[in-house]
Amino acid sequence: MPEQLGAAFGVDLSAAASFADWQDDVIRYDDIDMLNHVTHPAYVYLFQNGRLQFWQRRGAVPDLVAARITVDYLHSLTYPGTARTGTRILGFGRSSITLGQGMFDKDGRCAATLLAISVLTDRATGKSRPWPEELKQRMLNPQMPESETKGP
Amino acid sequence: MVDRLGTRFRADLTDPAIYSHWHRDVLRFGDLDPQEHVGHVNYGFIFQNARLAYWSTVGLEGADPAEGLIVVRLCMDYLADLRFPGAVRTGTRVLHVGTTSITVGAAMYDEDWTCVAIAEAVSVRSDPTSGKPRAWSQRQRAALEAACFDPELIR
Repeated sequence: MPEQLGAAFGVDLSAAASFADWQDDVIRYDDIDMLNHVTHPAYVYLFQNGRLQFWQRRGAVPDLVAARITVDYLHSLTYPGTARTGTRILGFGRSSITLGQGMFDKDGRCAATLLAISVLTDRATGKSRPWPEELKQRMLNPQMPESETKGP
Repeated sequence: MVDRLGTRFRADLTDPAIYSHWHRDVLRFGDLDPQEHVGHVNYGFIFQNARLAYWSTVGLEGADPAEGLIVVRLCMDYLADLRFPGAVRTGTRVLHVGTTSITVGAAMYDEDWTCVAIAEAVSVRSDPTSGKPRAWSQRQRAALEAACFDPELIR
């Protein structure tokens, strides 16, 4: 078995305690497959929503382009139901950012973990650009209301 | 920089010559994100569609719940964007056969044969009742190993 996705960063992405930033989602009928499980690519939609809300709460959605997405599927999610996604920053490169995420069902069981490497781009040229220090600090130091910081 | 997908199987997943199974998908308006590219999540659905078509060519009914194939890890590298309207072709092949698992590699190309993304997906054959992993049958194993990527064959 390959090592868990956050191991290189010393973070257990399958533990709710690793996250302070949460997004709630409702599973839809068209997310499911013939086994009545959420089909595996649909998890990536839910994770994406978690990341977008993560930026929104920091008051700026940076122009990021996905470079690599890796997902470990740990447990099935069923319809009807809900999912809670925790998101955190694992590291910055010159122009890249690595985020780690964990998705949990209503019983707090981890259904999947995700590692996303994205690149900050100049929207006009499509080329990568280095992180401005001010933007980086804003990503690291959110001003969040208390209600959005509680885990499952 | 992280290793390119496929490297540990000595496979250049961006090379169309390594694939013999192809699946065509047509892009949808609803695949687009606000930047008017196909959103990265939708690449995963297209890879899934191609993989499901591929299974039957190696003796598996991947869409049949009784087969119990479950994806346990999916990794995608995004190499270029996709614009609407258009179509894509996805090549898929076996990279590795484990006791209960299978790893496939795949690549997606636009209409000019630009490789837009590559993927590795690990699936496990599970018992549909208990959900526990179960070993491939001899027949399945033989078919999957015969389809397995062998760099010597490409030279």
